[in-house]
Amino acid sequence: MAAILEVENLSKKFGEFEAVKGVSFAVEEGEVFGLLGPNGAGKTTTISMLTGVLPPSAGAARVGGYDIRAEMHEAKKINGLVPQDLALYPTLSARANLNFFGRIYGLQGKDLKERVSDVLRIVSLTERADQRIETFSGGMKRRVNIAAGLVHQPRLLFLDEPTVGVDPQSRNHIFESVQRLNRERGMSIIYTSHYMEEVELLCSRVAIIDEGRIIALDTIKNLIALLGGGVINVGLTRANEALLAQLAALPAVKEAALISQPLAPPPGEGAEPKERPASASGVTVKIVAEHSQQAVVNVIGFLNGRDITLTSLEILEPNLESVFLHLTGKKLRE
Amino acid sequence: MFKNTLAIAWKEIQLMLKDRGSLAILFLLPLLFGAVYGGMNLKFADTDDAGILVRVGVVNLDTGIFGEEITAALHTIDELQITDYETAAEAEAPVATGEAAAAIVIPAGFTEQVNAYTPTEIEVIVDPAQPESASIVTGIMNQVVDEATIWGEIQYGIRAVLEDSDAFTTASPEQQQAFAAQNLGVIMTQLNEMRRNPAIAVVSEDLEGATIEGGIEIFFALMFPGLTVMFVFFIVGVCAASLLNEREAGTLRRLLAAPLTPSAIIGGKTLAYMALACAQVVVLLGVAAIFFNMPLGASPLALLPLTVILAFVAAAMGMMIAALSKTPKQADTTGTVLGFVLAGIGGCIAMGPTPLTRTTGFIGILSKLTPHAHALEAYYSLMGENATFVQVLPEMGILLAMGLLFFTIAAWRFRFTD
Repeated sequence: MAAILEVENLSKKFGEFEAVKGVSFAVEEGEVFGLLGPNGAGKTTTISMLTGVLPPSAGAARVGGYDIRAEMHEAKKINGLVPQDLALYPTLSARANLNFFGRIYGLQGKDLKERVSDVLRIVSLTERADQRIETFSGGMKRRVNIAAGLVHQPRLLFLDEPTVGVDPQSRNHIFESVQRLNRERGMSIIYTSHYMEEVELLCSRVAIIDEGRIIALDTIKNLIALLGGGVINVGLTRANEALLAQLAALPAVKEAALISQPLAPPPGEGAEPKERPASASGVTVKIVAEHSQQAVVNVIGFLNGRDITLTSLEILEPNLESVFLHLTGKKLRE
Repeated sequence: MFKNTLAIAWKEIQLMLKDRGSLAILFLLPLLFGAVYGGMNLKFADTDDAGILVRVGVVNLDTGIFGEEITAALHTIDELQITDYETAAEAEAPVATGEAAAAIVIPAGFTEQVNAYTPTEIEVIVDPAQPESASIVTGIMNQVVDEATIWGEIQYGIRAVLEDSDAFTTASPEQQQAFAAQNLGVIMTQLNEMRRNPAIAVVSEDLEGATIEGGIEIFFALMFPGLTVMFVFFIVGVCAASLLNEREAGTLRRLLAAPLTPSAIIGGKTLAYMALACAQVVVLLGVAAIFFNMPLGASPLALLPLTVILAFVAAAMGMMIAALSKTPKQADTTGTVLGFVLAGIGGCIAMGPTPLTRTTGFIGILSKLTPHAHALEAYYSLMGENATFVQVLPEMGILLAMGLLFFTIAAWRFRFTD
């Protein structure tokens, strides 16, 4: 399938601060692609460059074959943007807002009327179409915000954190709308969020972005497979390289590594491996398991046999949250 | 491109129509201001027309033509309330009690004495408690009696000249009388013609040097455009805030993601606020013309391009303020303060008899730096002085140049992103 979006080494600098550091990815026509990352990771800045809101500092991108530097005006006709903020005129009715956003994409007359009716149906707001937006609930405003990005029937829709501050009912409605647009109309969608559940539910492929860089990009299944059967965080009073190697060699264990604290320097030839000095709270060892339950049994048996005190035990189910934690050492919502 | 500009302009107009507070400030406030200010001036003007009313008693004891003419002349003077009496005592009584300011007594045989060129006098009895009124009556009487005096002088002159002529002495009394009357008629006709078209005209001026020719309507041709120009520039703050609100609310982001050029965004907003400003001018000047008889001048069509250019300057100034401000509140405040200050410097608030641009010295030069003063000068020239379109072209040109400068600064300095 042809790519509707190709991004190569796209960067954005604000003075000395580099918000996006050479990201590269491609989105297939008809795909729902996720950009997952914590707040401030660079998701919105990336979208801003791809939609023409911000000029890129370096790199290139093509939207529907149009270069975003040389042919942005054409690329904009293909794009639809649903910004994170409620980018609407609250004193106007939903219909007046949609009429305006349709007109600036060149729609008029009967076409405009039909398109506005269509998107109002999609977001289930036909009954409230002629009421002022300022009288709507937060969820309804979000739905109009989405409708405004759809009114000109874009081929590629950018949904930037569309569920922030939305009640569960409206959130479900937004999910259904996104799935229907993709399934029934073949719309390509880039969905950014810091909620891994949303990305898992909606997206076929995901780019995990942190501090302006894409640190992983694959299908959700493959990303989760990075963690094998799950992750076990084990709190110990002490640890050294030899202990980590022994833990990694246990049956059902794939990897073992210390979290957040640097390992003791490797011992010189013939020297005894140094133990990592225990802090007041000890150290935490991250164990990537092939089968989490079997690995837990093996690890506890191993530690008991060597008289090493276990101070804590956390079993992480394999999901995007744990993948992000595994890759960055941070939680998504930190 | 132009369709997009129109789409933005239409959206902006829809937003304006929902903003009742701003509409009240832009339309109702100037109307209220104009009605009160205009009404007060009309009242003062009416009072001026009525003049000062002085009660005067008149006794005409003369049976000739001059006594009759002087009495009739006094009755035609608006400033005097004349009461006729039979005797001098009757006329003096109200003066003594302060009910009348003066009593005028025309003596018996007044006409005969004038015709005979013998000294005579009209007695004016005044109330010393009303010196100003007494002075007015005395002044009026001098003017009225002047006519009779001139008449007597001319008659005497004609008779003296004719009596030295042989032809006159040999003529019959009827012929002499006809000859004298003919000469008197010719001279008086010539005299009256000279009075109507004096070789040296004297124009009255008030303390500030204003011509009082033309009346209150001409003053309105300065006052109402002054108010209108001032309130048109009130849109500067509203207009500036509206552009910055787009950025703050996030809608600007959406506009930038659409196939629109930045100039279409600024142009659309400018167009909308121009329409608003034009509507303001039409309403305010329309009300002034209908209810206060403000003249529209000999070239009313020239008001249209002037108004459009004025509206452009105000909207472009709003865009410039937006480009130089950080928040909508800052822009609104700056626009409003600037509107007041420039209105003051431009002569819209404390109006003199003519636009400030005609004042010499520092104030005149300073006023010319404001678009307000140039707009006011052009409106006054067109409406108050019947100037033609061509005559106000320089002012329109200056205004247009100012508007283009503001618009260029706006397009150059406005940050479309956060």
